[in-house]
Amino acid sequence: MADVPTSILVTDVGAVATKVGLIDLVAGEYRLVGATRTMSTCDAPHDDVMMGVRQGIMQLEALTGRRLLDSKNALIKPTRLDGDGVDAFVAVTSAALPLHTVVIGLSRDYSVLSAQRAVDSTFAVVEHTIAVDEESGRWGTTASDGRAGGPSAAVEKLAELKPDLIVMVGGIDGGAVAPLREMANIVAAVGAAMDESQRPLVIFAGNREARGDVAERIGGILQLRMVENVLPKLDQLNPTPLQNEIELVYRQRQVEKITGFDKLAAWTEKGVLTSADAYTRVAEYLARKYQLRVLALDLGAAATTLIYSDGAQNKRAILEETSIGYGLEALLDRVGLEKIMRWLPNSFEADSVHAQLLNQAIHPTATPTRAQDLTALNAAGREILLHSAGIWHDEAKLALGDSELILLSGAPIARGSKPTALLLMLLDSLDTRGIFSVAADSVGLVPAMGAVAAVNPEAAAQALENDCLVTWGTVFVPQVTARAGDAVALTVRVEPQRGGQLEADVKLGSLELIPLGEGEKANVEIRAERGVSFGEAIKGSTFKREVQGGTVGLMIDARGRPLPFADNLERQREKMQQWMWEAGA
Amino acid sequence: MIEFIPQLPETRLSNTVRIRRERRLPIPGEVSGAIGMRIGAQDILARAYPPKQRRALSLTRVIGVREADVPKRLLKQVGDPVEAREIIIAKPISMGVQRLVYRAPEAGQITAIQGSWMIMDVYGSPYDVPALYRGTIVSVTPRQGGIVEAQGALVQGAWGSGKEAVGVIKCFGSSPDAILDANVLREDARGSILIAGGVTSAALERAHELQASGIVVGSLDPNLRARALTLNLPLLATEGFGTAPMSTPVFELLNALNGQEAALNARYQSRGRDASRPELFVPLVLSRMQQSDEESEAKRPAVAPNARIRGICEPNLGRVGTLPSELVLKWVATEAGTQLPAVEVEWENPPGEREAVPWTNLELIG
Repeated sequence: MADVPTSILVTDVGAVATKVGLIDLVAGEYRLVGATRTMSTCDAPHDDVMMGVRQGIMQLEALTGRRLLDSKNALIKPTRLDGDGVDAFVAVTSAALPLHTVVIGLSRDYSVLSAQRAVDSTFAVVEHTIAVDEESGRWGTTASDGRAGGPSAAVEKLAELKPDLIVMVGGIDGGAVAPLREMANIVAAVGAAMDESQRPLVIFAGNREARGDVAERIGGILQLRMVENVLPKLDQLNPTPLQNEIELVYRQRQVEKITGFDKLAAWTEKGVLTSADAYTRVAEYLARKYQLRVLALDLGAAATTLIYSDGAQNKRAILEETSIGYGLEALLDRVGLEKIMRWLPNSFEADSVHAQLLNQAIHPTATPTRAQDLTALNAAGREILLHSAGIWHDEAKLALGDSELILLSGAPIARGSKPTALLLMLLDSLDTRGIFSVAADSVGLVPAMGAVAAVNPEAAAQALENDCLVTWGTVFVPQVTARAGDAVALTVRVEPQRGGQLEADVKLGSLELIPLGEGEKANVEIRAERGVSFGEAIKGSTFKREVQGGTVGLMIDARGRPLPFADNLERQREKMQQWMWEAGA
Repeated sequence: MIEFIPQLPETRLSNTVRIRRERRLPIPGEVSGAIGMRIGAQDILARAYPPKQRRALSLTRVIGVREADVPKRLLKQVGDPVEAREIIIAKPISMGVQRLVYRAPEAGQITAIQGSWMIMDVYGSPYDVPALYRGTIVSVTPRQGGIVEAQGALVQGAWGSGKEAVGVIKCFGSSPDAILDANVLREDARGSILIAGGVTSAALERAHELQASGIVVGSLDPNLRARALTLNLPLLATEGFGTAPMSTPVFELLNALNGQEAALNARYQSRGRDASRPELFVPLVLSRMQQSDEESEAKRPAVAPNARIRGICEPNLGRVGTLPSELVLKWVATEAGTQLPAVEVEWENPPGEREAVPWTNLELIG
């Protein structure tokens, strides 16, 4: 094998689909020469992750005519002189079950919130939180009837749950230790009451001065790990050590338990990354290379991932409880059918949408063939994104609204929804404003390119931009303060570089789709009318910019933000039909 | 043309299959069966004593005793049983003339004391795990449960409301789309597993009222899902949600089993190591049991020419057909305009109808 592998087989094992791709040098540039998608086989009745991976590879062999597996179904590595085989194998996965987690801390607004955010960025689900300052009397020992000294409902709930992980936080470094001792007593008591086979692992990420006391109380009963304080000072957040430790626990306790995982890992050079880790690297790479604030989304069948990167800092949220496959049942329970129906025209019947979403949760591998079914799923996708983005709403520093590149990956693309329909889904749910580009993961391998970068960064970058990412185009969302109606909000003049000119008046409250093909550039001049502005970043009433086209083109969204919902469901659904027509969705 | 034929999901439907099912306690307890023992569906295989409630409280705050003093003030220790109103901890007050005490709210056991914190389990009712599947115990895990091997007819479902029961199969309606309504349910529904294409809200409530053992439908009205989840009445949907009728082979098999005792396990976990599909199992009578490997559940349906398949997505949800004799996938454009690999399926109803169906929208059945 050459020092830097030139032919790389890459796989992304999801909970539902296993994607496999082959990267190789073609005319001096790295290209994705083939990609396949098969059913994942991690769960019963197959119970072997390698079955799906091998099937994907066999499909790729049929597609490319290149032998990748030998007669014993082992990977041919390194590449043979006859061209068969590959130099390297790279794998990422999101197929493991999440870690069920309880966060216990001294203060809800500080330590618990900091820890919860750290957990939200990992493959862990926070099932319960306990905060001292929330209870009337420390640890809620004031009973519900107001009598002092009653039992603690919050602790009793912890005792009833069977979490995989307890995250203990609290106190700034050098602060008081006594409250943490008591917290350790609680965790130890709850742990001691559990059967040994069901005891969770504990990570302590609080006041470092309390480590000895915590270890003394918990160490003999539960497995305990110590990491740096998640909140060492009141004004200093330090989530990374806790996140890293949770990632490690997730890999050890969940990922490595996937049947056949050891064989998958043995094929790789650098081990198996989680898909979210790999995707974060991609977002960070794009943010750095193009000096953009990137919002990368993965609407998976078993989890929804949001990554925000400005190149210097990354922020991530992984939501396992609501997803566009298995999580649809939970989504319906969480938001209700009516919220989903507001995104669908009146021609859609509630019962049939309800049944379709539940059936998709039962059969997440199924690919709807009717446009109406894809539209219904995209309506659910809006609610998933609204819920997911809501996780960061209270973080002032993190304004998703200022993203400059939105990257979409996941099931909606694999199922074949129209780009315009998915773009409208993003516009409806993400509240991104100003001018931004949108790109999509056309083959489902964009997250995996983050892992490819570990063995050959050049190959990852070139395959990513040459073959994995498809530019949908540019979107402009001005600030609208005037009321919607017939009034013109914007006058747009587009001069494509290939020649010609197009002018359009965009009405207040409407969307306008201007065709501008893939690879095309155009100079755009936009003049804002009364009640419309371009936001804080752009002064004046006219601005000019060169924009890039794409599969969709140039989309102008003059509906205003927050979106102007109609006052009743029927009228809202009429409005939705109008928006869909305008956006070509 | 696509040369490689990938795997498909599957649903088991068989009139004679040998299955093994793990029966496990949620918390450690006692296992009463032994390997090789024959066991009836309602026989108890394992029993645990989960607490009715787990009380957690700080003894420091209960009677104001310092953490360091807790051990010497305790009258009970970890593992001790306590009666209702029995004193657990006492502290002298008023110069020792009086004492402040904390009494057990109910009978139970002290399960943990750490520092000032105590966890006490209030005794609850025993939790039994019946065999559910009439057969033979082939494996025992001490304190946890065992594996039962059984032979009989198996119908796997698409969705289940949870819970499990044993009852006698009672089929309603002469067609797979017949809807079970409340007015046809009589007292004899008690102890029965009611089979129909669908069920009305009134029939669901009536079945619960009459203490039916369970319900098996083709499709469930999605509006009834929330209610079905709350009822102590296992419900299994063979196709899913909506109005699709019960698949013909499922309907035919269930009708052939009418009047027989069955186990309905409506537990449904969509993914993970504990993933489980809801199912209805009808044990064979002893004299018909065989040990042939052909009938083992491990012999699964395979992707092959002429294999029987079922649609798992509208507009073909629940339709049954066969794969072609020459298994070839071709790219086809769907109504939505997507290009997908598809196979030409011959549907059983209407007989002979052929259609190119996306591969991802099929499952094996058999």
